[in-house]
Amino acid sequence: MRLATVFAVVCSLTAGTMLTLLACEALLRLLPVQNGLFAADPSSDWPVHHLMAHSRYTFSDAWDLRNVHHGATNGMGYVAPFEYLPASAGIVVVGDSFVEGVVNEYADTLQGQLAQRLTDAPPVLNFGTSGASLSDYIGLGPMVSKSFRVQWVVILVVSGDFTDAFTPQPGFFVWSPDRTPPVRLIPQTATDPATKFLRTLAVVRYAKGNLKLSLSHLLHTSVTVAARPCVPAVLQPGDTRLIESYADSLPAAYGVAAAHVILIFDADRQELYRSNGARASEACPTRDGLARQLLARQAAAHGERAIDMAPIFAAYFRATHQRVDYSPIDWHWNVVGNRLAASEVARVVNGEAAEPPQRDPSGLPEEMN
Amino acid sequence: MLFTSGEFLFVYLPLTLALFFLIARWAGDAAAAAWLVLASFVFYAYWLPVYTALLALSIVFNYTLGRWIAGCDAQHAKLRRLLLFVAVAANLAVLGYFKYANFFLDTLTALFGRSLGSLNVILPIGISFYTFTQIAYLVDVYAGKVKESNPLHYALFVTYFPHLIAGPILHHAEMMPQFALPHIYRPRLENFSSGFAFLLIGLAKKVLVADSWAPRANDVFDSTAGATLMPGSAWGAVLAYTLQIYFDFSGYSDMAVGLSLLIGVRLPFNFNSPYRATSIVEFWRCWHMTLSRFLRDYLYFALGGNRHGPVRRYANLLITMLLGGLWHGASWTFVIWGGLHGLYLMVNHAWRSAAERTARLMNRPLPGLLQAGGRGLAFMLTLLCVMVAWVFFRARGFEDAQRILACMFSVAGCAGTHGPPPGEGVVSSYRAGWITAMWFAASFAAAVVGRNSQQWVDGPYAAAMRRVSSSAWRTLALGAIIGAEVTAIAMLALISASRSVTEFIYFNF
Repeated sequence: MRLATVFAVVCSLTAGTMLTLLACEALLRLLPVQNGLFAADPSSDWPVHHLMAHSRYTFSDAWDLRNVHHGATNGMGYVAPFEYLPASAGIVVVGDSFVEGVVNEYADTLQGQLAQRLTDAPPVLNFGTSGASLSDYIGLGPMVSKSFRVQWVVILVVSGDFTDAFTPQPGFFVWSPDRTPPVRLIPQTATDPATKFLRTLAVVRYAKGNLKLSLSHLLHTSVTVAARPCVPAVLQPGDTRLIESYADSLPAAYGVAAAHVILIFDADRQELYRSNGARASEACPTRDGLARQLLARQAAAHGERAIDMAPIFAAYFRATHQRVDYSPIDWHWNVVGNRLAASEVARVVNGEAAEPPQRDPSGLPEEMN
Repeated sequence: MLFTSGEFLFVYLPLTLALFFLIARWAGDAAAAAWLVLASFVFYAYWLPVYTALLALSIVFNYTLGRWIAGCDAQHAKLRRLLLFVAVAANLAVLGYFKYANFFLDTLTALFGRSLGSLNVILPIGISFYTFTQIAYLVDVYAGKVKESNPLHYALFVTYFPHLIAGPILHHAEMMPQFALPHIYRPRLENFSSGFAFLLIGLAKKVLVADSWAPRANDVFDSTAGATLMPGSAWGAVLAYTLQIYFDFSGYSDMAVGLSLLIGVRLPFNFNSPYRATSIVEFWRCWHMTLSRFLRDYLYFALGGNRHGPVRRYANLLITMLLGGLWHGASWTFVIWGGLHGLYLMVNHAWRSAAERTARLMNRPLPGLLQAGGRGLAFMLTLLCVMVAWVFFRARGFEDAQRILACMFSVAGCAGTHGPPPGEGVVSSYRAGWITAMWFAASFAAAVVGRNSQQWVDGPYAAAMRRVSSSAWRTLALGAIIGAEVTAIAMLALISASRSVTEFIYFNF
């Protein structure tokens, strides 16, 4: 093959590629591709990862742009239709993407529904950040309590929250190796101009936001071998002390009494649906699951409130056969999941559940009767 | 390795193709063929390396036996027959052990009420496909129909990665001669353009359609026995599976054809719009055509076909379809699926004979409107029969299939179930109902109306390519088309990677 031919082929291949990408860009710009959910550059007064302030966003999920929601971030870069007033009183809700709240309309989020259920209560402040884990939930405490008068803190603990906190990510807290202090912040750098330009492209936003593109995803092992038998995991040395110290330190981190710390524990919803509502806890214990169970026990022992959503979701599913999330496409809670959790939290905050919530013998949460 | 995966599309395929053409240029065609055999083994070993040895042994054994059979002259007819018997029996024994041992043990346990234990055997991927292709080869050697004996071409015919794992079931006569053609060892832009077109269509079928319907089907078919089931959800799941299996398997077959075309080798088509069929006979002429061909040529004809009267013909049809069902998987549900299709075929043939007799008696054709109505009715009845059979094909067991069918055809609704509370409005999937309905209509139309992939690529697309090839801008135009196709393929691969791993349905067979 002559060099000129090779050159012509390469040029035309590139032209074909560029034209196709341009066509995709034009098409995707007409569609509700994820947009506006960009990390803010770090600042000394709020050095943790958060979204750009006053940014209008579009959320959609998966390749076919499901579950479209539009919203805006407030001045602090969190999803809320109001500003957080410095030094004001507030009920703080902390968590990962479940709490961040872009998957639902604001009124359907945990914090949105909680606010509707509270009487004579201060605003509910959402500090949920996609990608956060247990280490962030405690690391955020001193920052939040310095800026606001925290009255209650509500923490949503979901699968992976314990073990994910061992993986350092810029802008997020990680378990500290010597555990004193228990967590340390991985510094975040400002987003470079090239990345800022790339995220204006709909093709890039579609690939990164909707398709969750990553090299590991792209090159994953493509054929799965038969499921392995369950090998129950155990906690590793140091896990127990870490969790004990975590439960002990939470109230101080937010500057509230232990009784004003509410931890919500998500259910194993895959197991819940697989078993047709019979079970909602891990069929095969994992290190993360064991740590979360231990945290629930430790929190209760320290006078904090631990709400286990497993029996609540199971009762709801048995009664209605409707899911509390967007599975099987997306496992984030839907309006029902958030409503059931918000109801439980509201009972505690409104003083209706001085003791652990009593449920109807039918197993249904109160609001369904 | 899945054809839809990034590791295949972005690493394995470019490397294999580039080295194939480079080796052919600098070391000759035989070396390139050897490279393709090696690459195919790597492709296979990526799943579970240990079974590569089984594949290699199978090739050596069958090729050697094939040569021995071919080497026997007319005076050693008995020895030839014995060799064929040994070879086929050995193939079936290996297939039986890996695929059916536990099935037979479970069946015996159920019959005698005493556990006979089970074997911890993992089914080697693609074993049904490479066993069948080699049995066909042996039978044809015995019949004196095999002309090609190049061991490298034989190894390539069996291991050729585009078809190795889930077909199409190839015939040596259509493959081995192609490996001897010198032009397949030279890269051609026209081959790339057509190959990528097939690959793109197949990938779109799998990623955009089949994988989109899979969750809806899985929701019902994988739910536990006590799970809520409404007639609507049962019908929805069966319709979803009907679309899923067609787009999954025909998508895979299109990809296989496309991948092979990149090298310039033509694979046989496996589908020809089967859901358009107005009879089961027609359905089987268009569904998994290479399996139908194999079953017809090496089983149905071997049993006597239609040469011994209608009763034997029907019996042969039933046996062929029962065994065809069992070929798909070691489960009674597959046998029932095959049996149902056997019965459908019997009824279809009987109806056709009766209709022909009636037409002769009437001595004039039916009015056009009546004919069109009849065709519409036949189309719907055929599709309904196919869907009913799919329930057994997909269900985890006979009881699940019964439960779903009972719910589909229950007038009073499904026993022991209840609907959601009024006004709830939250369902398991959050895709809006009208979008689902539109998507269903589009998927169904794509399966039933208009051109299928080969009609597109070999029809208007090929005509356009011929015009491009004869123009002065051939290289530039073809390069741009290929660039566009590759980009679209990459986008689809990204979509595929964004989901959890979804294997092709026929990987299990």
